Amino acid sequence: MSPPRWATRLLHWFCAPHLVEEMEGDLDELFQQRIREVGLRQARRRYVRDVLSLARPFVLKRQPKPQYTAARRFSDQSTNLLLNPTMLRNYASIAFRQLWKNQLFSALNIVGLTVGLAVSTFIALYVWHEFHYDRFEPFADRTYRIMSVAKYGEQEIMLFGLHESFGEAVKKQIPDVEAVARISDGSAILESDQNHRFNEEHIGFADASALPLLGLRVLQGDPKTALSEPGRIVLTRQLAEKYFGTQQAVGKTLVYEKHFPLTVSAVLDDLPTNSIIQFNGLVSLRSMPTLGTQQQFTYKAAGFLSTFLVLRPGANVALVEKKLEQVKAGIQFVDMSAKYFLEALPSLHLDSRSVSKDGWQSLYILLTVALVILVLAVINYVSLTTARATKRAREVGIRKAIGGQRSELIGQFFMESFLSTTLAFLLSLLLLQLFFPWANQALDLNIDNRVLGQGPYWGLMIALWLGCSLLSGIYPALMLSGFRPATVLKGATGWRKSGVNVRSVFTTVQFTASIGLLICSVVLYTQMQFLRTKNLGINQSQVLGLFVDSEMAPHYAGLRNDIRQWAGPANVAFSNVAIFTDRVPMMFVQAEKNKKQLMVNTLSVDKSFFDMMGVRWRHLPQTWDMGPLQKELIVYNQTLISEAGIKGNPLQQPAPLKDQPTDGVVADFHIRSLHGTVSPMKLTVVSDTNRSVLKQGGYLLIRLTPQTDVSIALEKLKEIYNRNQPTAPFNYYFLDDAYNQLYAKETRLMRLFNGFTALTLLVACLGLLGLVTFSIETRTKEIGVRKVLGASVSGIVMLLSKDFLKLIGISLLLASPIAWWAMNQWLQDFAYKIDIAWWMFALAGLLVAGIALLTVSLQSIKAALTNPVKSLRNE
Amino acid sequence: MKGTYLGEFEEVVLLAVAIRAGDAYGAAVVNEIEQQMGRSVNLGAVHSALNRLQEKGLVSSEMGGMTAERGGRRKRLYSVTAYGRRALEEIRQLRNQMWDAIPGTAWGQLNMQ
Repeated sequence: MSPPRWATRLLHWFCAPHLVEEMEGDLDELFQQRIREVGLRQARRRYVRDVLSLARPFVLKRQPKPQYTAARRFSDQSTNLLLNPTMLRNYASIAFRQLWKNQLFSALNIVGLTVGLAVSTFIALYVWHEFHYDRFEPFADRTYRIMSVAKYGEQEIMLFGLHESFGEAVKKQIPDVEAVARISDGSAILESDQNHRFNEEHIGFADASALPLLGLRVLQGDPKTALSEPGRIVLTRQLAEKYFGTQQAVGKTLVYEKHFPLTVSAVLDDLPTNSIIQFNGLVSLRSMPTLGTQQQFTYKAAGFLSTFLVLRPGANVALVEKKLEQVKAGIQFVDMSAKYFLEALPSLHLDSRSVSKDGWQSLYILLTVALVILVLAVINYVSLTTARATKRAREVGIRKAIGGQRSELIGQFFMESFLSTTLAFLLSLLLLQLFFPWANQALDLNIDNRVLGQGPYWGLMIALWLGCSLLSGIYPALMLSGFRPATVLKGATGWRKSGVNVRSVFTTVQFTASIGLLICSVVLYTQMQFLRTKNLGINQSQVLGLFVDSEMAPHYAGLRNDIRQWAGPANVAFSNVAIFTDRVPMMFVQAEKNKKQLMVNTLSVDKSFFDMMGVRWRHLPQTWDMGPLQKELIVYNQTLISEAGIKGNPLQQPAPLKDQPTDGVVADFHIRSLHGTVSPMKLTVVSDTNRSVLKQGGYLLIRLTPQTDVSIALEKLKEIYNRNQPTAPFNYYFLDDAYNQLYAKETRLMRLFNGFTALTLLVACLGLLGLVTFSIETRTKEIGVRKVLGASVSGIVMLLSKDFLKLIGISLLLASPIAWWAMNQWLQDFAYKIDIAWWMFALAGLLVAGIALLTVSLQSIKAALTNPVKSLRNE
Repeated sequence: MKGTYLGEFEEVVLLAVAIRAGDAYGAAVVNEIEQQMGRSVNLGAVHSALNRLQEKGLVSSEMGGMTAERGGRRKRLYSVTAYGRRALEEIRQLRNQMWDAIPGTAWGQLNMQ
C-alpha cells in the first residue's frame, strides 16, 4: 500500500530540501485518502501526476544557505560537489580572480589561443572549401567529365576540349548516358550601348542541358530553355548589373564581338566559388556558327568543349569508357588514337589527371601549419599554467586538507582552461569575422563568404573550441591536482621542480616549429627572388602589350606609326600572341632528321622584336641588315635546333622541320614560367606591310622608359589608340605582371608562409616571455643575493637567458633537417631552382635567437637592474 | 492595484484557505476544492497558487507541529491575511455591483438571439 518509489525518489531529487517535508506529507496524506476513496491503482496514478505537477520553479529553487560552514558541507556530502552550484560558483570566481590577478599571463595565454584558433579555423575553412568542390549540382554523384588522353611522341597529352559532334554522338550511341552537357570558356567583347562596351573574360558557350546540370539558382528567366535557341546569352548577376544596372536584363540585347546581337535569356545568381565551372556568361552553343568566321571555324574544326555526361543510376563507368572509344563522331579534329576516361565531377578539382598533385600538397602543408600553430598555442597555455603551479600549490593543499577530492580539483582546473579558451574563442570569432574578407583577398583564396553562415563552419568552430579546452586543461589539471597536501603545505621544495623538463620540451617544440617555418620562408623567398630576377633571355620589364583586334587591320599601320612616333621606333615591336600567358599556341610536328615528335611554340613577330625585347642572336639571318624584309623569315631557337638533331651551322643544314628552312637562330628565351624548361620555338618574322598576322589579333609591345609615369603614358596611349578607329575597347597588359602571375600559386604560398611564420614566432615568443617572467619572479631573492655578493648585470642577464638560448640551439638542430627535406621536395617542381645554402639556416637561427633574446632580455635586464635592497627587504 | 490581480484558480484557492481556517494546508485545500467544485486538481497547481498568494501577501504560512497522521511529517499551515480578506471582499463586491447593473430585459434579449 505504498506510492510508487521512483516517483518519491524523483521528488527528492528535484525538490528543494526545505520543501521536501511538507510536499511529501501532502502527497502521502492524499495518497492514503485516495486509496480509500478510489482504490490503489487510481491513487498511485494520481500520486505520480501530483509529483510531476510539482516540478515548478518555486519547488526546484534552493533556499539560499549560509556558505562554507563546515556543518553545511557535511550535510551536503551526499550530493556531487562538482555539480553543486555553490562550488561551481566558487570555482568560477576563483578562475576569474586568477585571470585578473595574473593579467600578463592571462593575456599571453588568451592572445596565443586566439591566434591559434583563428588561424586554424581559417585554414580548416579553406580546406573544407577545397574538399567540397562541385557537390551542389543535382546529379553531381553521377556526372562525369570526359578526358581524352593521347600519346604524342613520348608525351601524354590530356585534353578535355572535345569536338562539338562528339557529345551528340555519345548521347545517341551510348544508352547508359542520360544527358550530355557541354561548356566552353573564352573571352569576348560585349556591348549593350556605347557606354557599356567591355572585354569580358569567361564568356563561354554551352548547350541547353548545361544549366539544368549545374542546378544554379536562376534569378530571371527559365533555365530549361535559356540556351536551347540560337542567339541567346545567359549572364551572371554581376555581369547583368554591369550592363543593365538594376533594370530587368532578360529580353535585352547584348552585342557579341561587335556585330552579333544576342538576347539575354536568363540571369543567374552568383556562382558558388567551390566549382571548377566558372563563367561570367554563356552563349547558346547553337548560335556559334552564326557568330563570324572565327567562331565558325572553331565550331567546325576544333575541340573546345568540356563534355560532361550524366550517367543513368547504376551505370558501369568502365564500360562507358570502353564504349566511348567506339563512338563514331563525324569528325576527327586531331589525328590521334585517343583514349577516353571519365572523371567524376566532384573529384575534378583535386584529383583530375590534368591537375597536378600540388593541390593536395598545399592542402597538407596548410593543415600541418594550422595544427602546428594550434598546438603551439595549447602548449603555451599548458607550460604557463604548470609553471605557475608553485603559486597554486598552496591553494591545492588547502583545498585537499579541508576535504576536497582530486576529481573536484581536476574539475576546477578544467573549468579554468575552459574559461580561457572560451574567451579566446570569442575573440578569435570576432577576429575572423573582421579579417575574413581581407585575408580572403590578400591570400587570393577565393572562398565564398557564404560559408561563414553554414553549419559545418560552426560545427568546426565548436569542435575546435571544445577540443582546445580539453587539450589545454588536461595536463595542468592532472598535475596540479596531484600535489600532496602535506608536502606542499609543509613548504618542501621538491615539488617546485615538477614539470621543468616537460616545459623545456615544450619550448623546444615551439621553437623547432618557428625555426622550421622560418627556414621555409627564407627558401621560398630566395627561390621567388631567383625566379623574378633570373635572366630569361628576354627583357620583360616595363613592357606593355597593347591588344590589337583583328578587324583593326586596315588601321593597324597607322596606329603602329603613331605609337612609334610617340615611344620611339626602337621601343615598339609586334607579337601575335600574348607572351607570358597560357595562350601561346602549340604545334605538334615531326622533326625531319631524327623523326622526333616535337611540341613547338609558334609565334609571329616583327623585325624590331629581337632588339626591342633583348633577344640575342646565335645566327643572324643573312639578309637581316639589308633594310626592310622582302619575305617572311623563319627563325628557330637553340632548343629546337638541338632537339631536331642538327649539328654544325644550322643555316647551312637541311631544314629541321619539313619545308621550313632555317633563316636564323636565336638564343633560348622564356615565354612561359620557369617551372619548365624552354620549349622548342619557331618565330616567323614578318614584314611591316604584312596584314595577315592580325588574322587573330595581336599585341603591340611598347617599352616605357623607366622615368615614365605609367598612368600618363596609359592616357596618352589610349588617346592614340582611340584616334585610329578602334574596333575593340582599349585593352592592355604588362609583361612583368603577367610573368609574376605565372607564379601566383607560389606567391600565395609564400605569403601564407610568411604570415604563419610570423604568427608562430609570435605565439612562441609569448610563451617564452611568460616563462622568463615567471622564472625571474621565483628567483628574485636569488638575484638579490647574487647582486649583493657582486654579480654584474650582464652576468645576471646571461644567467637568466642561457637556459632558453640552449633550447633554441637544440631547436635549430632539430628544425634544420626537417625544413631542408621539405623544401627540397618543394623545389623539385622547378626546372630552375636555387640550392639550399647553409646561410639560410644560419639566418633563420640567428633571427629567432635574436627575437628570443630580445624577449628574454626585456624581463631579465629589468630584474638585473632592480635594487637588491628591494628584493631582499621583505620576507 | 496592479500586481495583486487574482486569477480564477487563485481566488478558488484563497476561498478554500478561508473555509479551512486554522487547518489549511496543501492536501486539505486540494480536498476542499475537489469537494466544492467536483473536479480534480493537481497538488502542484495548488502549491503553486499558494506560493503565489503568499508572495502577493494574501496568505501567510507557518509550519505546524508534528502529527502522527502523516508519518510524523509537519504541515505548512496557511491562513488568509487581512489583505487577503479585503481582496476577496472587493471581488465579491465587484461581482455584486455588476450583477446589479444587468438590466431586467437582458435575459430576454439574449434569449431572442
